Amino acid sequence: MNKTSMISLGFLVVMGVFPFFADSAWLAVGITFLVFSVVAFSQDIILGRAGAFHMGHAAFFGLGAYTTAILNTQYGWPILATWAPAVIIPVAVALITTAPIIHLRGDYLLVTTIGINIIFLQVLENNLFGITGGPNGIFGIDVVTVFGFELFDQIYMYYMAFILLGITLFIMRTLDGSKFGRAMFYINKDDVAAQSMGIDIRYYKLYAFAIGAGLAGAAGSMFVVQYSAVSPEAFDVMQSIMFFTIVLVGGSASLPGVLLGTFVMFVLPEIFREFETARYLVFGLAMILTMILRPRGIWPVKFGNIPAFLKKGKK
Amino acid sequence: MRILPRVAASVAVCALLVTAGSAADVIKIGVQAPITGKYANEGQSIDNGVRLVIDQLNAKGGLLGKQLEVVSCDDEGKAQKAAICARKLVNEGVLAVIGSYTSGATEAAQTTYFRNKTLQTSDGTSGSLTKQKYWTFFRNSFRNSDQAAFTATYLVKEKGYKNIVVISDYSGYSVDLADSAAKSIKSEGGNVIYQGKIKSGTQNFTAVLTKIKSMNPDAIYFAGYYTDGGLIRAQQQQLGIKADFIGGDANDNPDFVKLAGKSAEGTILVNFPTAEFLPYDAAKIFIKDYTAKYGKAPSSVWALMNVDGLNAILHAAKETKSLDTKTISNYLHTLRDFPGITGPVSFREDGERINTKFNIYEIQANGKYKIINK
Repeated sequence: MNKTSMISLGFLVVMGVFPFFADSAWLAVGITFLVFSVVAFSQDIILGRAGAFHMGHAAFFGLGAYTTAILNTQYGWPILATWAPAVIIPVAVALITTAPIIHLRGDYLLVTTIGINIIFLQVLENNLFGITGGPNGIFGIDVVTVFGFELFDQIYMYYMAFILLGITLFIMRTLDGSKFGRAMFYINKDDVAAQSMGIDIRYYKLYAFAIGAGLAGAAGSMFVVQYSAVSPEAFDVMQSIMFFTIVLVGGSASLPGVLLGTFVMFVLPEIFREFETARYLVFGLAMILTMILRPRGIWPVKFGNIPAFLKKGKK
Repeated sequence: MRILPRVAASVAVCALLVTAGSAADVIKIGVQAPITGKYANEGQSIDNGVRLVIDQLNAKGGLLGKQLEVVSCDDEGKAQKAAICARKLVNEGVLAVIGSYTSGATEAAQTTYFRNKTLQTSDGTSGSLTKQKYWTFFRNSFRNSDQAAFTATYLVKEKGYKNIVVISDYSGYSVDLADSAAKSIKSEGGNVIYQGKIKSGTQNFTAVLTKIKSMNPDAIYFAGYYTDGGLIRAQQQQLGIKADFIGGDANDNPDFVKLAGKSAEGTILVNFPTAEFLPYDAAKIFIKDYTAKYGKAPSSVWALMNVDGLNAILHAAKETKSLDTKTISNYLHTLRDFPGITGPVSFREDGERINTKFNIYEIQANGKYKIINK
């Protein structure tokens, strides 16, 4: 077992027992942490691992949220039934929108993904198909019901988000040891070299986008059930920038780094309300200082993402 | 692995601190209002108003022998923030939530309060707020449709406008009011030549106004908020559009006059009686106390309506000697003519406040209101 797996296992254990010590207010903070961790990890798959400069992640997060909200409130689907579409639709949209632009490098891709996010927001705000509720959003989303039993208590919400995080960490672990993970590793280090080795960059980057969008969509679905309301301002470009910087400031492809970033950006403001307004200042400063002093992130990967097959004698 | 024990320890310490801190025996009252952002002066007035009432009550010995505490949450007038606020306030264990100012933020939070059996009273005027008939919700103002009917009668019957333009923003409240107004104008026999929407907070509305100018309307009815209304009025004058400007209830705020500047003169506003014109003793005393404490009068009648909602809930708790929200709600549904700051407070079975009295104001050169309805 390597260091990353130990950290993720330890993290899962801590989060797994957390509800036994927490009251409802802390439980809500815990849910926020879990949901946003999943989004941050899904961004990390695209940005930290595949190295694609993707700054429109809030669009996929929002797509999952709106899929659940619309299917539930407009078409009367139970929340459970909306989970599959809330993953599939973001994946499909990610593939359709990024396939034509996936060959773009660095800042070019960054600009186009911001464009995707802006278009998504415009669609929501202008109530394009009369189903998004315009700038107000959608209210009165149901709670999860299993066999007629309403999982209304927050503890259920917590463990659903917890399971989603578990799935996310499992996927990421599986990816790391797979053909995909190795390909990602090379592409991220040097894409020209990777291509000359015969790695299909386009295919693997799209693969990363698809997985990232799917996980973000699932997290969006959780988000909307937690607050039983959704509105466009939660998915603007600022939010995408947040996810982007969490990964860069925390440390690309670094599990504790991404968790740290999520904690500072989304959990601390929940705990200290006074911090709410100061957080952009703090985070802005952190961004500047990190990029100058620790360009690879606060908690960079030391040897974590070197595939096991490269490390002699270790398995 | 040195990091794990440390993380585990800090989590455990946090958990201990939390459980130790939540034992005090007070009644918590929540405020959900736009304390910052575009509608900050309304939000702050609501927050201040509630705190004043609770301070006064605490000084008199509290409610049912317990002290009260106000917990505020800033929703910035945004739906997503409102939903987050609802979660927070419910988790704080508040008995009732006062607010929010905008219908959108109120509606976004409504379901969470209903599911958690927390009372909510808001000045939101959207028809949709009482559609669900949540027993936890009490509207302390009036419905858009009532205001629209009153306005339409004034525009068509009294003033005899032939060609009327209706503008709104995209918010739930504004669209609802504009739609109801257009419908009422038509049923009164009036002619809505154009119904348009502006994006709130855009600052520059000349595009839509230029379009309107070519239509030569007699009157422009604006169903949005004061932050946009003041600017629209000013830009209308700059473009030389001769039409009369009639603003809906959410234009009733001192900032409207500030934003419109000299153009404010001659503007017509339709609203519930504004604070300074309230004839009731309760209103005079409250406004005096408020001004003494905060150094200025409440921004508008909206804060006072919310205070009436709060007072009604406190009254119900006192009368029923209960802090059970269902008991309080049952009592409130039968409440008749409770002496409020904004007039008698009575609630219908669906949480709707019963009253339909409106005033029409014309803004004078000095920025003061003059009542012009008969």
